[in-house]
Amino acid sequence: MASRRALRTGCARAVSAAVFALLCAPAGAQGLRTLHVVTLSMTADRTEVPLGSDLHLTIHARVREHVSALDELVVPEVGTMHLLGDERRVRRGPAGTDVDETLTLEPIDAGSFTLPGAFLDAIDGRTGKPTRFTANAVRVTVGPAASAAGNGWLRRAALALLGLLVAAMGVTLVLRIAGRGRGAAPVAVASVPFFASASAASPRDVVRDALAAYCTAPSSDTLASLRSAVLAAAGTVPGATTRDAVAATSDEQLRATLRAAEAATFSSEDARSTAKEQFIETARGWLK
Amino acid sequence: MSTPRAVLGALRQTIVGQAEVVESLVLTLVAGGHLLLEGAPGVAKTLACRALAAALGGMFRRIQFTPDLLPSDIIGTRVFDQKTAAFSTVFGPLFANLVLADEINRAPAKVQSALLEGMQERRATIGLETHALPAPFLVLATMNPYDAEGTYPLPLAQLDRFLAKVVVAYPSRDEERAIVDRFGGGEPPLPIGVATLADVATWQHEARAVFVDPKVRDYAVDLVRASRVAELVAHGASPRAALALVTLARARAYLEGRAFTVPDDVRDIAPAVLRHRLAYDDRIAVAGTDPEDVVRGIIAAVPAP
Repeated sequence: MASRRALRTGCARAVSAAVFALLCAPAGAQGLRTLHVVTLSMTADRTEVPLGSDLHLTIHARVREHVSALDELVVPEVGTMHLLGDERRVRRGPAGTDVDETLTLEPIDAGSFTLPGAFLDAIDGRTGKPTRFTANAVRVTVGPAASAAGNGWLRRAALALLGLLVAAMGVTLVLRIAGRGRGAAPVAVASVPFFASASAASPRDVVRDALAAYCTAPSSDTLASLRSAVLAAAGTVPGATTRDAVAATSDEQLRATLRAAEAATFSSEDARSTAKEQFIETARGWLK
Repeated sequence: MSTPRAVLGALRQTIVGQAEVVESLVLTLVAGGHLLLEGAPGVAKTLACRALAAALGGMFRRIQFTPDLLPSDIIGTRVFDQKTAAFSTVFGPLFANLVLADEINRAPAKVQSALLEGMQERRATIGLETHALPAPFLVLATMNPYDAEGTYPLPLAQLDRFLAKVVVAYPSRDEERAIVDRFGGGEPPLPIGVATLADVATWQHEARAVFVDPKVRDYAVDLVRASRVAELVAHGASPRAALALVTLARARAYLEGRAFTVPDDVRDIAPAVLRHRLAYDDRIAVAGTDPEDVVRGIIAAVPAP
């Protein structure tokens, strides 16, 4: 009973997402909103999931403006995962607006997958240019199910995909006939693929490379690159501060690394060598 | 020796909510500047100033600015003593460590100017004699944004003398309930003697030694320069604003126990430093834009280092 409801919910979400994707298709040709994007990050509550369990994928965006919604936010296509539900929270504060989009996903196939980062297109308030802001990718490993229910999942997956295909075709037909209007849906699904590869460099890989570069040739430039990599690992865009990054991640060790990076960058000359050593040590700890 | 955090804690015990006001009071004290508070009547502007004065134990004077106030009413005057047949000096309420200038925009320009000269020079001239004002010297001025009739708006050049300006908002519903519960029975107890004037002098000295990296300094300068080319702004902030940003950033780092400033220090205090230093062009009224949004836009447009 519950799994049928989940299937229906998943199909309904997928349909609404498909509708939104189609409606938004010409958005690139239309006027983009000017936004100062501070943070765009993506985290999963679990990165190792057995078949039959679900995971929550949270996309966090912070913009300086006070907005009621962030319809530009495009979450990655979840492909062969069931989209069981989504929840959006919008909080407006003195520093701007925080938007949290949480997707509940249920994997279908075992394997190791990289979910490409969510993105949003806007006119960058800092530069005045159209920009695509992209969140970090998330790697998820799906293990075998604890109980022997594999055949049932495959059947449900096939049904869900079939339902999605039929619904998307129906919606396309309706839209072409109607030929009008734009709408809003809680989730926009991108045309970016959900792929099973390790080709995309993970934030840790970027930090690892930057750390190696700094250790090989310590300079203010390599230190700045390392700090930028750590800030990006928390999901922030260039121009964000340490506090933005600390607020964007729940990883305590990454937070400690961010603070150490700040001390290594901005402390006085006599204290900086110690701060740099602490930064390297903390970054290594986070990379382990 | 007491710490600025102890004063901050004591003020938070007295003032319900108003986190920005309380922190700005302590930051301005540590930075050795003056603070302008703007808010509706009854939002604890005066209480905050009285609480700070009680916590420091210095000499506190309150001046209620009215249209008939004269410069001599705040600075002091020379009076003829018939017994000694000589003139003696009577010092006005400006000669105090903490001066609360209540509703500063209700007094005419001459009085405002006398106060602002004291703020800038830290001395006042009575007759032919010039007297140094006591140290530390902190002016907290309040303005009510609503009853504009019969007021004398402060010119930009005079507003520039204030290190920061805080907009005191109405408390939240929970905070308002807490105010009624806590203070419904009478006057709130004020924190007494949390720190001494000697402590304040030490804090100010130590805060001046906080390190400012060239990247943080450049960030402050870029923010100020961005204010001069911002949309809807007729006149941007002066170089004094860049100095104020760095001074307050140092104070904030000191308050947080750091020996160096970070970009967050500058960004956090930027609204308080910039908001009263900008003159807007006429389009802002037509566009219906909140000046606070313009300030936020300027800050958001400059990437932090």
